[in-house]
Amino acid sequence: MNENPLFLERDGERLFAVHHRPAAPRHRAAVICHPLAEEKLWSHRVLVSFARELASAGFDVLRFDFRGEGDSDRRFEDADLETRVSDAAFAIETLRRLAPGATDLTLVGLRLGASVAAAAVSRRTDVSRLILWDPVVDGSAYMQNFLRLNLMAQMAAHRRVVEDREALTARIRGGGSINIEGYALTAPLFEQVSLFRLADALTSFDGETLLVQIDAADAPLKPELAALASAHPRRLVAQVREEPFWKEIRTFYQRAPELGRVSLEALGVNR
Amino acid sequence: MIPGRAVSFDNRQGQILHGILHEPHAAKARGICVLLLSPGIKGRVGPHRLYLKIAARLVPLGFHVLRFDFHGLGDSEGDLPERALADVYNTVHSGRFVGDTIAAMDWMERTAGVRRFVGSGLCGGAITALLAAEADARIECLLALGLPSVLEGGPENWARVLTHQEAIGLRGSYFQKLTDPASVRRFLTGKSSYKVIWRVVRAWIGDRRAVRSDRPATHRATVDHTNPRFANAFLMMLRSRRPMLLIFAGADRLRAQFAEHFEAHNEALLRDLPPIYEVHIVTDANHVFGEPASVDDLLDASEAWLVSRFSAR
Repeated sequence: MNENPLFLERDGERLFAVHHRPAAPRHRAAVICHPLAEEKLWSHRVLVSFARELASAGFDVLRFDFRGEGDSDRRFEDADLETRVSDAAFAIETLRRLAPGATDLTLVGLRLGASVAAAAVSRRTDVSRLILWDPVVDGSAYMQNFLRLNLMAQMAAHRRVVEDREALTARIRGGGSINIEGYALTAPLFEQVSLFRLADALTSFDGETLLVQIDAADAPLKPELAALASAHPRRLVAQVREEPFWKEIRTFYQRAPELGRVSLEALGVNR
Repeated sequence: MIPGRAVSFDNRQGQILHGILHEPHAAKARGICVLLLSPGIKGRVGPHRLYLKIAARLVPLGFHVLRFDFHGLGDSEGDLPERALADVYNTVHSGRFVGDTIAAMDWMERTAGVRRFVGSGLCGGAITALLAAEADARIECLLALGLPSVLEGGPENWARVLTHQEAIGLRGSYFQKLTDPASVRRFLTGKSSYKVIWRVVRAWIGDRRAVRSDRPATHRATVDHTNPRFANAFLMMLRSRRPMLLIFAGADRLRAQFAEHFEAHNEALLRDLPPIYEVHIVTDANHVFGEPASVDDLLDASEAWLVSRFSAR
């Protein structure tokens, strides 16, 4: 394996990244965007394995940590959706520099990372393709689920909810923060993600887009994904059966085989 | 955030391990490296980036801090064959990553000239540090966060290692279940965990007897379910006079497991050995020390203990 971990400098701050270099470059490249907070940690190995598969298929791949996460600079509470989108754009520029011969660039993202990827390619013409794994379609609903983790922690600690959803929201909007599994959620991230709609982010992207719905068991296609796919001729939707590897589950997930297969097919890679 | 540089080194199987080395200012360097060993499968940043917070506290005090991913995890090379997370945890608790830890020390010695180490980490990182210290005397002391002393092996083995404290905690919910038709049906159709129920009832009876006899209840596990490698490693640390600070989260079962499964069963041995381990409880903290106040408490206790052991330059 030819993998180069490095810190990228931007405006006095550092982003941690890993450049996966292919043995036989095929002028193709991919940037991978990780999900939020603990979802990033649980899913990390799946993203690493997929980056390695891409590299072995000839792709230059850049994985990186958004500011406020992983080994990158900033505290979690000092980063928001805009910094993440800006970091993704910076990662694209970086990979263009690291792999100057690459003419075909794909962005891959998981969960909120998929949504960030979609927002980052908006109005860009130098990105060929988006592969969005279980993307956050409605940021408001996603943030409400994020708040739920705090409510669950309250139940575990006090056997009851001491501060309800409305009180938590008021605290954030009042300039405070709330603790979600050790991460301080503050107003900028909360508000920006709450306003996010994947449909809006995709409006000005004309490249190919693969939307992947991930379910642990047979499930109907989510109407919102079906609607997104039908709104543009270059959008496809796929359903794969995988466990929710971005959470703590009983299975040790090193790779997501179905998800990898569908994604590589979309990239025209035959294994 | 605390500056660090990306580093890579080989383990003994030739797999490349990736990590971050935080170096103190040369004028303040104590020549001691704190190895922050990865917990479970979460990699070198730890839950909610706990390891970055620890590094940020310790590096200005003059300690090197090395965080790296074990083989098969994080950014490092290799694959692990297990399919179940509980099986991965058990292999970690049985010393799977001791070799990687020794490789990290070899690399630090070779490249940075640091030969003295503090073994540290959360949960799986803590037990790996203990087992590595048993194998390598360069680890001079142990700073263990949530040190697991039993092999849990998944929910099916829970009844085996359930502590008295947990059994008492479950009592209320079992009483409630007596009025829940679904729970009663589960019980009558053989779907309940009878072992757990029996442990809860036994703990309850034990407490009632203690109250009636006016004697304090003793919470000693009837069978020692300690990780087979745990006692030897722990006792060896004491025999070789290497101090240990064990920081446990108050709301976590690991402290009670340590007391009921290890300390209670090794009382006589522990009495004859130097009392060089300290236990610090972070009140109300959960397993990953997820509350900011828990992190502050953990950092304060760690700093005070380390500074008292290693003189500054």
